[in-house]
Amino acid sequence: MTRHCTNREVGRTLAAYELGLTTAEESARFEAHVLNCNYCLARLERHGGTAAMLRDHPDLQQAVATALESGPAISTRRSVSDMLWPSDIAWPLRPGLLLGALAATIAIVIVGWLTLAAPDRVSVLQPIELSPHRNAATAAYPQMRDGDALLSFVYPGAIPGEPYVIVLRRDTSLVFQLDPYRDFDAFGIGRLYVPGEKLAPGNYSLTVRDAGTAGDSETVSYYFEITQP
Amino acid sequence: MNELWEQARAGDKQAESVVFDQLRRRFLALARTRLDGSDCEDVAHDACMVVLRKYKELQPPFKYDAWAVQVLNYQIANHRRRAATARRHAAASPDEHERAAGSGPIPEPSFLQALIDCVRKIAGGYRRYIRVLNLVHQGYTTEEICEKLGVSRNNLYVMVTRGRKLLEECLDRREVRP
Repeated sequence: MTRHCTNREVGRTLAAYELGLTTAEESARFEAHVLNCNYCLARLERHGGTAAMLRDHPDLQQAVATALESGPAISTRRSVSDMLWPSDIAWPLRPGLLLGALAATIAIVIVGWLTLAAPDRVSVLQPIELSPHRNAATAAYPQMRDGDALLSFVYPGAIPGEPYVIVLRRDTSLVFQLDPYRDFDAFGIGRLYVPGEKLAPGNYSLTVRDAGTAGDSETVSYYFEITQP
Repeated sequence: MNELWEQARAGDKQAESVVFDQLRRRFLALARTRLDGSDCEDVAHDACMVVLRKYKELQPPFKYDAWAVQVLNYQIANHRRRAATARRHAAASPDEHERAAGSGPIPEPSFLQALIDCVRKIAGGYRRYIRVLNLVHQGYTTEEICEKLGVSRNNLYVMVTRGRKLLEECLDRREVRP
């Protein structure tokens, strides 16, 4: 078979011509084309007789009707592919291309936003290191609008893995209580992650005690102040 | 091809032989898309004979290809008219009926079965093509088919081209020919 059609614009109507779907003008053009195009001639010779049977043979007409009836209902709407890439619309105006351009624009905006705006949104972890104060002297820290705090505190003699009770209060109101807290390390240092929104301006007290006792001798208090930023 | 026509017209017997060999092959291929069985060969042969008799009477420059195709179309239309007349007569006479029935399309049973199998197979994967065939069988025009399927004429051509390709592949796998 010759490898290429001499006029693809006309040659592409071959299948439609076989089924009698082409206009009179298209048919005449295709027939004249076949007199000069060995590629289309070979295609016709290869399966040309099939079309006449497909069109006219009663058994095939019956088979076609049965195949349609037995299968699921067919949609007469355009396929997604036909809707996105209709061949009768110029390339730059095809909906698929426009949708692709829109998707690319959105992707660029999102990437740009993440690149430029995201650093401002990364939480800043404010370390607050506490030492036991029995005289209620406080250390002041400015309030963090977007950041969170990491409280570090020393509890002399704390045993890693043993249960302790931790209570955080602002002025006299309870912020939270952890019971049990088992995360002291081998140096007796405990750490707590506190979301920034829980640390409104005010005076705070953090008390730690052994979970098995309630006496003052086992309780250590830490004081700090969160001030207006 | 036009050069060959001119050479043949000028008396070149070899060119004339080439022209008519090619013409007969092409006429046969075109006729097979529109008629069934051995009728195609008769129609292609008759059309070639008409062209052979008359082409020297045409005054150059002349569009031989377009004219030759018109001759073929005339022969096909003529053949259909004769066939329709024969069918009418057959309906009136039982003897004629047998003869008329004998001249109809008689495809190889294996090919017909393969074609039916392929149609069923394609219906499972590309039903839109089968839907087009069904609408053609029901006698809808191209415009009506486009409207029913909600596609443009170009898209319809693309659909039937794709369906034909699937059918070709299916038949080739079964190694059957019309």
